Amino acid sequence: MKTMVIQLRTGTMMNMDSNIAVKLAQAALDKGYAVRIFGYGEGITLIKKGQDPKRFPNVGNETKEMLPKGLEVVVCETCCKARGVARGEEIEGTKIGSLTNDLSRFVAEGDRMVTIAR
Amino acid sequence: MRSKLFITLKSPHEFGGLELVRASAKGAESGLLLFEDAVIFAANAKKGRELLSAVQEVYIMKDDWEARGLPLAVPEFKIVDYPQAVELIMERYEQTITV
Repeated sequence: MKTMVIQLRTGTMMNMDSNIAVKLAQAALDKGYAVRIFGYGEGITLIKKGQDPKRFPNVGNETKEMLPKGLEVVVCETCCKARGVARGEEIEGTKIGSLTNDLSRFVAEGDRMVTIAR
Repeated sequence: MRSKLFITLKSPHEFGGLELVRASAKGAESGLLLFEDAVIFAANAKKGRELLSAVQEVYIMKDDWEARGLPLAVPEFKIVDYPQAVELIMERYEQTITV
C-alpha cells in the first residue's frame, strides 16, 4: 500500500489550507492509500481538541472521523509548547510527537509528500 | 528522469517559482497542480500560458476554481476533483514538489 504524507504548516481557521489537507487525506484514504499528516508551526492546531468554528469547516472533527480509517496524525511538540498546547489537549488518537522521530519516519516510509504551507 | 508533479497554492501575484519549475521540469514529464488562489492563473491567459511554457500539463482544483467564480481563459488547463488529484499525486507522476 502506497503512503501519502501531508505536511501541514498553516493553522485551522486561518484560510482553507487545513481543509485542503483533510479533503486530500479523505480522498486518498477512500482510494485505499495510507495517509500520514504532520502538523508543523500553526499546523499543530489541526489536532486541538474541542474546536468549534462558526464559519469554517470543523477540520478537527473531520480528522477524528478519519482516524479509524487508518489516518495517522502527528504534530510537532516544540511547536505545541510554543503555543501553550499541552499533552492531553490533542484529539484522542492523534499524537504530539517530533520532527526527528515522526516526520523523519513519515518521509522515510512515505511514497509522496505534499506540503501545504504559505 | 522521474516525472514530476509540482503543486502550488499561491496566486499569480505571490507565485515566484516559475523559473525553478522550468529548470526542474526540463527533460522530464511534468505537470503543475493548482490549489486555492493558484487557480486564479486559469482566469489570466497570459499568466496561465507562462505556466504551460514550463510544464506539459496544468491541473486546477475544481472546488477552488468554482468557489471563486472564475472564467477559464486557458482551455488547455485540466479541471480535476480530489480523487483525480490523488491519482495525479500517487500514480500519474513519480515525484511531487510543492513550490
